[in-house]
Amino acid sequence: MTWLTWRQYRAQFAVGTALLAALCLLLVLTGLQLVSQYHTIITECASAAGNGQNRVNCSTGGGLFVGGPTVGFVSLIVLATPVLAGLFLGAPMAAAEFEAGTTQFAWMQGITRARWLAVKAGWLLLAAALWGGVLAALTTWWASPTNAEHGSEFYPGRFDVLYLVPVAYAVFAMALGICAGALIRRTVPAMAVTLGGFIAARVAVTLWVRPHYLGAVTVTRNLTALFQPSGSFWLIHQGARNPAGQLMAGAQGQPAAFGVPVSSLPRACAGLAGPPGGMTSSCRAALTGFRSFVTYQPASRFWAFQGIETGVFVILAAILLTVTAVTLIRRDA
Amino acid sequence: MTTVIQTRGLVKQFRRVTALSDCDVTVPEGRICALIGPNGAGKTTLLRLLSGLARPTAGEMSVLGSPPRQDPAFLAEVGYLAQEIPLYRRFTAEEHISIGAHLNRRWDAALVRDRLKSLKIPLDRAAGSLSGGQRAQLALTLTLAKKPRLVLLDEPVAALDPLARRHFLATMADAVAGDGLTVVLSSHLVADMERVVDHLILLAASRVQLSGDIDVLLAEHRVLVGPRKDTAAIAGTHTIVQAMHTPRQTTLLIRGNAPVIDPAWESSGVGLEEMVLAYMGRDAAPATSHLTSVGEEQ
Repeated sequence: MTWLTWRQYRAQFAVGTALLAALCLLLVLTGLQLVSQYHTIITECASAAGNGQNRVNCSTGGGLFVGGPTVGFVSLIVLATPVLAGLFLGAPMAAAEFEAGTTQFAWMQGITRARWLAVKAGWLLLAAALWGGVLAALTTWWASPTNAEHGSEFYPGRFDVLYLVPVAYAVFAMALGICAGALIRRTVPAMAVTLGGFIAARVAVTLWVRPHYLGAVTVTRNLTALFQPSGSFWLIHQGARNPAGQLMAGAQGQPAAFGVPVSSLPRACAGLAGPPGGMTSSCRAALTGFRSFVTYQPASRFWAFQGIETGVFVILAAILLTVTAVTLIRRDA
Repeated sequence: MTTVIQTRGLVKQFRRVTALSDCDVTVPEGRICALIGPNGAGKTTLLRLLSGLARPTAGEMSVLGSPPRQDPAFLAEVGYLAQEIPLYRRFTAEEHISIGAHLNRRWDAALVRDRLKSLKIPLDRAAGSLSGGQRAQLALTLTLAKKPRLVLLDEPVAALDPLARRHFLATMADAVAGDGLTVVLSSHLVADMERVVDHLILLAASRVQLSGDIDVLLAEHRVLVGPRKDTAAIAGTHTIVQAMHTPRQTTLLIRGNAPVIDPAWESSGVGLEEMVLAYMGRDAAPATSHLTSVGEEQ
């Protein structure tokens, strides 16, 4: 069965490897560029430190920004990559055989359908995991300068291309493709379902599930007190409440202070709309009772989230594979 | 005598369509059994049930002593060749031989190579580029290379020209002669395989119309020709399979071993094709229209 799997997939394997190599080359080239930019910034910041500027000013105020559009573009490619294996290897696995009728050949040889599925799906899943793993390792190295500069590794879009989770996405995409192909039995519709299902699952988990893996931390302070969580935290929500406890609207282009429109603050603070230094002691007193809050996932949870997210997609993959096995064994060939 | 296939009350339903109902058939060991029926009669369904590729909605089956199941021991004993002759289009014959060698405990690669060589089928060309006849031969040979005890072939000669048909059936008959192989092959025509088969299952409208050893069936059936008259007396002692009337003459196909006493009837034996057509026609046409064009030709 292993021989058959290899014989059937060696062309796709070659194409997949070539694609992966091309992607690796892209990552290495742009990665080296990012590293050199980062070194420039570090050096300039070191000299700027003598002038009393901090790191934040150095990177943003100083007009230095690692990567630029390249980072966004490459990240997008890396985000989309796991689904490809599911589309071009997973979906046709059973579907193409049903279309050609060859299940009636393969399933009448001396091995059971369960064994046929186990070996074929097993190798494909392993290939997907390896593919995802190589890509994740390289991307993690590639993204390290920007992560170091911006502390952005916990953010959606960046979290998703680092360390463990890309492996889980690739395995999930493969399982989804295999399952869709086994249920629908036609390659092109199965590919469409795989693509749609993968995007839907990733978006749904990122937006609605991941923020709740562990209860977010909310820190509430006086409006005037600045608060910045340490390290690469993930900001879920921030805002301000007035003394009545109502959520205050954002500034949206109006003169603002502390992230809220000056017009919604007490009259004593009207001076805040003017040039800097408008803060008066009467304003400070009037702001008692106004609170700012920050809801976030602390940087210390990064690995817990990587682990949970990986677990979620691996479990989803296991469910899909169980459905596949039951369907292939129970349904008529 | 060992029974290789026995089914009782077999039913297969697809959503609203009944593909097979109340199917009782028995095939003894060593027979070459023709499964005959018009298109859509349920031949493919029956073969797929027997192979274990599909499951029955109701009823019981015993194939080689147990119900068909997904189990290496069962799969090793049963060869199945689907109507569309499924092969991997991009794989060569040699690669198909390798697949078989990897997936079967018992596998006679030499047999395949020898047969293909004698049929002049190249081993190194992709299956998709072979002719229909060559593909069918390759697929049959691969089916036989497993050394199964039962071979199920679904319309194996339908797509072949007359010469290829003869070659194909010869290959099959060759294989059967050696080892007490049992074969069931379906077709909508019996003429193709009259020379090689010795057992018959006739399916029409998803039911078994007739089944048994061909020589026994032929001995049980007779054609009676006589002046046009009431057939009630005959119907009392025999089963009238088909009655055809012209203004002056009545022709009956009857089943039953009792003697026909009325001297007005002239009795004669029946050919296999004639008998099969009578049963197929009986079911295909409603009971009132026995005056068929077939009768007028005679």
